[in-house]
Amino acid sequence: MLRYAAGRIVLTVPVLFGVSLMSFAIIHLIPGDIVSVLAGPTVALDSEAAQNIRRSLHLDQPLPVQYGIWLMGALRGDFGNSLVMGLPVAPQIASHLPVTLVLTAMSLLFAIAVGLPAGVATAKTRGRWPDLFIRAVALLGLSTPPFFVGVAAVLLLSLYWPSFKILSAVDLHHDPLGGIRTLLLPAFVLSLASATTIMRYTRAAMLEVLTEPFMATARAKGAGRLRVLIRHGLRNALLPVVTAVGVTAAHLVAGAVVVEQVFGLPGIGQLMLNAIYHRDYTQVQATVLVVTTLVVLINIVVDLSYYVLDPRIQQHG
Amino acid sequence: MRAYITRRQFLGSTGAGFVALGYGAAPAGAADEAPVPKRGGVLTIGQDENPIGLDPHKTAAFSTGNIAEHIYTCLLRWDETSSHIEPDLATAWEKPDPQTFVFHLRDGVKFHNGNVLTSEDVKFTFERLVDPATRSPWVSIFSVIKAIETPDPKTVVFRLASPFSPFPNYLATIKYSAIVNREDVRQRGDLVKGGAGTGPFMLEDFRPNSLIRMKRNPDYYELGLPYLDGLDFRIIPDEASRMAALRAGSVQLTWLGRPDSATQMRDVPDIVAPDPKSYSRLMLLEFDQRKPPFNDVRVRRAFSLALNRELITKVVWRGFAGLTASLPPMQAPFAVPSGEVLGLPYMKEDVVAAKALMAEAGYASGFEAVFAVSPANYGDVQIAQIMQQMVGRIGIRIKILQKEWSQLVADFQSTESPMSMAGLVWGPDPDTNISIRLDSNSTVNPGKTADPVLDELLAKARQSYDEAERTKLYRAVQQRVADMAYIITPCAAALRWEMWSNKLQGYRAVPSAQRVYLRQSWLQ
Repeated sequence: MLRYAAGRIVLTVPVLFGVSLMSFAIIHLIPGDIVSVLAGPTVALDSEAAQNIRRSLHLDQPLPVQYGIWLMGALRGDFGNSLVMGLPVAPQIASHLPVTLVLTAMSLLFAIAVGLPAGVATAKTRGRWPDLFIRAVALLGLSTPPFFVGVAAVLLLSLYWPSFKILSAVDLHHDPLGGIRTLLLPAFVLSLASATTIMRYTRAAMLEVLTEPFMATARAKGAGRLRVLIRHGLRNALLPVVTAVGVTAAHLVAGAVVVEQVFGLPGIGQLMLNAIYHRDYTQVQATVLVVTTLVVLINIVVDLSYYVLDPRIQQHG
Repeated sequence: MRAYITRRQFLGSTGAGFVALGYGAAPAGAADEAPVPKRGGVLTIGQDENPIGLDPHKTAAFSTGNIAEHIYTCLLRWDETSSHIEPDLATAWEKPDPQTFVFHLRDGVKFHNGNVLTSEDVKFTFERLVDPATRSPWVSIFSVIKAIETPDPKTVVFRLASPFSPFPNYLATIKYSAIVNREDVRQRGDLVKGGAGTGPFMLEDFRPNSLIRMKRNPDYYELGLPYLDGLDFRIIPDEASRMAALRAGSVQLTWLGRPDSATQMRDVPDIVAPDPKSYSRLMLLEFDQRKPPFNDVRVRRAFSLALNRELITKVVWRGFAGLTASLPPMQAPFAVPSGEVLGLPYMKEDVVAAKALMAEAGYASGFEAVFAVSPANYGDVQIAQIMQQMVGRIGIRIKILQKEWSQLVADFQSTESPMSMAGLVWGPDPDTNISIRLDSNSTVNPGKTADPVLDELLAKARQSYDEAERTKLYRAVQQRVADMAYIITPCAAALRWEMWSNKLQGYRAVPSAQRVYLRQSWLQ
């Protein structure tokens, strides 16, 4: 087990290195000049003032040198100072990350809580009306983008249920319960597409398992219907579902950017979006690195959970 | 000798008018209907953008100014029409000669940290503004200050390098010259996370991308103001969400950036959504005048003649826009009023004359040109598309190139594109935007305009302290720019559409979108 886990973790090092290289390079490939943003449209770009800004930010150095300075800092948890605000980036990320993590975790819980039972139910009632009905609803959920559902939810609730304070500020640090309450609706909106994905995977896997001989054996041995379905059926169907959950979790992190924007949540997606908008190189690099690292970590967790769920992996992995 | 002084300035500066000033801007209905201001309550504002730091000296960003304008005040301030200035931290000022300004500071003004305002703080503020380490975008403007003297704690003397009539206007604009406390800046290093100002509200909490909380400044120098106990700026970037939040009452004041959204809110009960009073955002198209075809004035004139400006304001802005010359209508009295714009040379649509000019310039069969525009703000791309069709009629085949905003700004300056357009936001003085773009001495001057006649007019206007004379000069500037078609101004639009709950009383929206009237607003 340990060797397997260690192997997985070691493998992420080159991945993360690649990620760091990409997040550093991407921002430099986009056209435009940070100095024009910092100095404002009234300052000439070749003026002394503009040159001073360039120098003070090491932008006059060759790219490999800039990357070296940045990577060394990043390894120490120092992502440098925001180009636009001048404040250190790391504390900004630390204050915005919890909102995204809680939002994503809540969405994932919603998605699993809805998707898993729905998947089992549709597989069990295959071809009959509950199956058709749930799948129709799910298709709708999958094909409606979160920014639409989000705006619609905000608008409808504000019109018909104004006392439901949808857009109040989130402060997980001082008021965790209030913060979680505010995150309920955004998390629900974010979870829709994921719940559908999980449902569809569960249904497909269950359909396969339901026809396996061991299911008949279990029933023949006198196990209860529900026990057969869950203990023997679902457990064996879980492997592809876990993969789906992993992929979904990564999607949720990306979807959080949109949902945070619609609900005005101070998460990492907002931070990243603002940074991109203001061309705040250091902040973009740091947020992209953190988000991709998050996705890589989720994938590790998924990989490790295969091991727990299916001991056969041990022999091959 | 006093600077061009209005009745209001006189009343204010004598002190007798002080009380009248504070209440003067409240809605002046019939005496028996006048609402009585109520103390208390916290106003929640739906803010569209997270400020990029709160240091008022470090950035030109609108998002920072929106917050700083409640924390800080200036020597002077704008009156309710945003067209004249009145006393603020300085209760009176003199101009003994065209290069000297003397300001007398108000008594007993305290910064939020308890320090008393002295002339040293004023001196420090302007030294900080021109210090390269501050990286203020306004260094070039305030470099006109040669020396600052502080003969006593209540008097500041500015010695200018040359007569500079825009000076008082910059001193009245928080985005340009918020007065900071020397002690406070020394302690904090910078004011990015907030600082101690002299404004009606003080910063209590700054949670990036979430909330900015301010509380009432009990020591604010206008008696009895502000009425509100606090301001909560809730950062909600999505426009539809802000509209919903206003409907639900989660926020009581917000603004929108799109005319469509604004019209939707007009008929919502209990929401006050006034039409913009004047237009401050100038749409501005520039040509590279060094290269053919736009080095030929006949081509530029033909371009101008091919446009139907009234149609542009109607289609793109749903009528929330005005015709404009090279100064936006808000810059009255200097700007040519919207109603007179079509009377300027080459402003009124005339396709036949345009075609004739094209033929005369040797482009009877037209030409192709690239037009760079940024989709960052509403209106720009839409206007470009309409203009594309309009000038297509005279053979100018435009290829629209959408560019990322910062790229557009950079290319604008290096004149990479033969044509580009951007919206310019309000500047405190008519000189602010027009000189930067058209004066041959300006380092920006994207179109590389070099016109001695224009340079002289601009220099004279910059140095004249007589409003009537300045108006005459700027009218001549606009006439000249239209005649030579150096730039094309298809329209001027509103910067923001402000709207609020009818529970908020005593508030008024101003075209420059500064929310300074919150100091005398209250919640019913």
